Amino acid sequence: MVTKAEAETMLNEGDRIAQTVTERRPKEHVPYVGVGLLTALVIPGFDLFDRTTWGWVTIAIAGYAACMTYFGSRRWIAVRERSPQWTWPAISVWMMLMGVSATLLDGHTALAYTIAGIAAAIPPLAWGLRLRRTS
Amino acid sequence: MSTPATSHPRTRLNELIHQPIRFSMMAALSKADELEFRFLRDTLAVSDSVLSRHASALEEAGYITIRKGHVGKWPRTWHSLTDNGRTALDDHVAALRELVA
Repeated sequence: MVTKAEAETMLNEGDRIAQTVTERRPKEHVPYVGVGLLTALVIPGFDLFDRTTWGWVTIAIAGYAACMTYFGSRRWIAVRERSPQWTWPAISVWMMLMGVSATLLDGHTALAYTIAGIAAAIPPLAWGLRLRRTS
Repeated sequence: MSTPATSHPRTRLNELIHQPIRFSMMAALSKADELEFRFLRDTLAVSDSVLSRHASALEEAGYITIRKGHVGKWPRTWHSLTDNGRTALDDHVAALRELVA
């Protein structure tokens, strides 16, 4: 026989536990927004300083290292949240396309890397902001 | 006409989930895709063996899945709620809320 008081206690305990998990859940939007901001802020600089592909390689390595550090964090390991599996591959392909476009446009316009950098940053930023809004 | 006895919320409580540790475990799992064993153990304040026993019972019922993997060279175990488990938990919580109302 379950009394009203027992049912109430159980519900309260369930809510408390659920709240604890919610508070400790990783902020999944962070790596997306981080990669988006890094791309938007650094790539346009190639129009001014460095027009070689080494800049893209540097960004890719820095972004990958930042994401792996985040994904390896205790918070992420303890409480996992997953976006659809296609998001990171899709964003990577888009960024590579933008990199190629910037290389092709370079010489034709002074803003090749600015345009490509901003365009490359839009998907991760948009997805990150969407996650932030819905989580 | 009187309401049939079977419609009373008490009869809709799930006995397996009603055990306090299992209920807390499922409430925790309902808020994340996967929870790591140690996180669950510390959050529920239970011992390793108690958590394992209840996790096995829920897994046998098809309410959770247990996945083993590694982080670096360290073995880790993650738990997640199945669709059946989520439905069962929702039904159980609904029955509890009716009892409280």
